[in-house]
Amino acid sequence: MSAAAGRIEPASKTAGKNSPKLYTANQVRSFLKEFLTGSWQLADDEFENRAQRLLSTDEKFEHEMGKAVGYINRVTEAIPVLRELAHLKADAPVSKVAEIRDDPAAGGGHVCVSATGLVILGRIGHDLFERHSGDWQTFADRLGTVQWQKSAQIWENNVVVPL
Amino acid sequence: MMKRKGKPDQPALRILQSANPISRAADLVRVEIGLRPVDIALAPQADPQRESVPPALAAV
Repeated sequence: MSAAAGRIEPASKTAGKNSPKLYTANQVRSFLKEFLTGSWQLADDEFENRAQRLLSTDEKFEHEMGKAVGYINRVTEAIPVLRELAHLKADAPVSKVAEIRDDPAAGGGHVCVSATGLVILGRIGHDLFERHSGDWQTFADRLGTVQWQKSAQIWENNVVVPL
Repeated sequence: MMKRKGKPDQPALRILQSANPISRAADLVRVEIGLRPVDIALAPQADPQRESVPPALAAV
């Protein structure tokens, strides 16, 4: 995924405050679970079973991964903060990544740059390819109009609460 | 609680990771981008006879 290219923490449980990474490998796994099956909470063995059915041949694997990559690339270009992160140079200072990721003007960050945001994006992607596969791009582009700032009203008292 | 110097006076916010809030948030996003919320789309159709207002009450 383009916003996360080179910015996935492979082993750690969290991408730390002073890390240039945006997501952990586990968070990307949850996104893929949600995107492929519609449920990020599937037990690992159940997910393995479903994934083996969904991705049983090289062609099916390439097809499903192509959908996931196409979707996340489209979403990355649509959502301003993801686009900005994706277009940062690989050697951009950590402080620049943190400045965008944790932007105080956005309430301390953006929901789409969090594990929860990835799950939400995965669920929308799953729905789009299930029900709107002919025009998924239209809806993916509209994700760019959503207020992803943590301080935005849309998240209030559902996924964002005061500390 | 002591305030840190130079920091804007904004409340700290935390992102939750439990399933129902995520479902609610995802439904709000669906509406924002012009999709029907799944919870509504999957809800059983209301029985029109049970939902209709009896004429006597409607006239009041």
